[in-house]
Amino acid sequence: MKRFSQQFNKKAKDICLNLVEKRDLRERVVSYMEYHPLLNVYRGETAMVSGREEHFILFNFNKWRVLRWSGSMALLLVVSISYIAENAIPGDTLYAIKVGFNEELRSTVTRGSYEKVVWETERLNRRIAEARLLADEGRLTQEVEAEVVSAIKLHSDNARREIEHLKLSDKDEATLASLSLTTALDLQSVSLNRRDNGNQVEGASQSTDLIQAVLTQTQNAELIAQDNELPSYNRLIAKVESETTRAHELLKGVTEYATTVEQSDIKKRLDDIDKRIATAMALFESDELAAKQGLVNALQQTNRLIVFMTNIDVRANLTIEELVPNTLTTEERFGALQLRVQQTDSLIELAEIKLSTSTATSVDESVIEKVLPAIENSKVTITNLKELLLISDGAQLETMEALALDAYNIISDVVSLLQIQEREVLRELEAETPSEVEILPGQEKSTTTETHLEV
Amino acid sequence: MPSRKQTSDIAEDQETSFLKAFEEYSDALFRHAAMRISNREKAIDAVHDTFTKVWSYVRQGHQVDSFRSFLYKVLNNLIIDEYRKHKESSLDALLEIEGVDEGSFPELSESTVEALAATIDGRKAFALLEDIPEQYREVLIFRFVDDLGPKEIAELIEESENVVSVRIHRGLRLLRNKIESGIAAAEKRRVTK
Repeated sequence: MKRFSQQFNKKAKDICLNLVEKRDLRERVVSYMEYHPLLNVYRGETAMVSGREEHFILFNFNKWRVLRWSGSMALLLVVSISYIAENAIPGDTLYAIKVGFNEELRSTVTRGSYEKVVWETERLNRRIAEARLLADEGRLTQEVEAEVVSAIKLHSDNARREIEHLKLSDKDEATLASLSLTTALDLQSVSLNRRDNGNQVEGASQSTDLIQAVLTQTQNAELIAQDNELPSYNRLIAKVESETTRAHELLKGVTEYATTVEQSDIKKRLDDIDKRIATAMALFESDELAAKQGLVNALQQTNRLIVFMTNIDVRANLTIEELVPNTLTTEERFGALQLRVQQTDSLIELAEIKLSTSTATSVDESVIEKVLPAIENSKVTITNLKELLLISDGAQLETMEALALDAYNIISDVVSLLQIQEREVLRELEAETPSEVEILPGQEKSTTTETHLEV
Repeated sequence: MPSRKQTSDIAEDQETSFLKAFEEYSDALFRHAAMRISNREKAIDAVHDTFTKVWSYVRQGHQVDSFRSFLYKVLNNLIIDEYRKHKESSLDALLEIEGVDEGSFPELSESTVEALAATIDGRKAFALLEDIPEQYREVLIFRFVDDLGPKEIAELIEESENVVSVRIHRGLRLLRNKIESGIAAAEKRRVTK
């Protein structure tokens, strides 16, 4: 057998790959290995396969690590800069990143027209907040204000465009988005106006008139563009539900930093809104339009309350009562009415005192003729109201409130008129007797001021 | 769980072992394939496919203890696939045609095979190899070209050792008969002349 094997094997050995075939075959196999590296390892596999030297393997390994490290660092840097840029304001180096990168990126990833409207509104709020901050610091130059105005127009235009786009597919959603936008514009406008008025009194920082004008203009344009139609009842209910839920969640969130009084105020408003919603829902069967209008009002109140809880600038310039007026209970309304009657009574008394001393201060006869009937009228109204308050069960509460307000306004005007008259007479006296003015007017003024404070 | 360095080392070992196996067995595998397929290009492709399949197996994290037997196993399967592409009847069907219970022969011992082989001229037998059926050619090549034992061959072709021995014996006998009939024909031609 050995001889057979040797002969057989020797013949077989003649069959073999030539050098070229073997080299080609090896290259094909190695190439396959390079394109299909080992799955479960992390390294430069191909280096060994292709027969490179050891230092090449090391170099590749390090290069890979360096690339990964550099990538991680670059990513970290981008994230850090983006994060820091969020607090930038116009004029800062990173402001361009905030507006041009962060916000644009978020705009790109925001899906859905409604969400886009919300985001554009948020951007608008941001621009106004920046302008307010700059104005407080005295850095709101004309150029920056022009930029802010331009940005407000841009964002409101974007929001409007999305609303128009939304109208084609979902009219209810478009109306809701429009309501949200107008509420935001209204709030910002009122807040800026209040801030400027406050600053005028205190003589502080710059005005934001131009921004206010643009906001008002944008708000008017939005109101004109709005259809008079209200969203469907079901959509309104759903929206109101989600917004009130959000408001309740925010209230839970503010418990850490809000005072007990503030929390109580917010909770009271939320309870009021719940009552408004319940009333509107009860109206649905009999008067759907009134029910929808009630829900829209409740939604706007909720949005305002949310802004109060989330926007520190608005909170700084407006009180919660200004934003969301409290709805009083019948008892509270009675209490307020009694207070109003007392205040009117005090003012009548004050007016009478001023008139009784009119000869000393020589109040104009024509003025006396005008104010006397007004005082008498107010006195009669208040006397009647006092009697009514004793017997009323709340049936004519609104009428009584209106009467009390009228009487209060009239007597307030009377007192103001008498005070003006007093000041004019004093000025005349000062002009006539300059030597005495140095002593007497000061005493008189302080007396007047004290009287005014008492009122 | 192995550390990253350990994993890396294992991977390098796998690559090294695989490339070493290529250097060591590519010629033998090619020879085996060429003898069975009788087409040089297809034999090269079969060897290439053998190595790529084995590499795919390795890259998935499997450990290969003996590349030699594993490579032969894969190659054998590829050759069978190649045969099945071109032949209507399978190898099993060919066996059935033979109508033989291969495990029932008494002449299964190695000594019997040796005795038979001793009577055959290896060079002539090699030339006549293509004339015998595939299942005999297969085992004869494994046995006398690749130098595998009956047990290894049995594992590769997934048959019992007895079947392998019978096929070797039968293959050799067929070769001897063909050699003898060739000699007889030549003698007859010489006498006729």
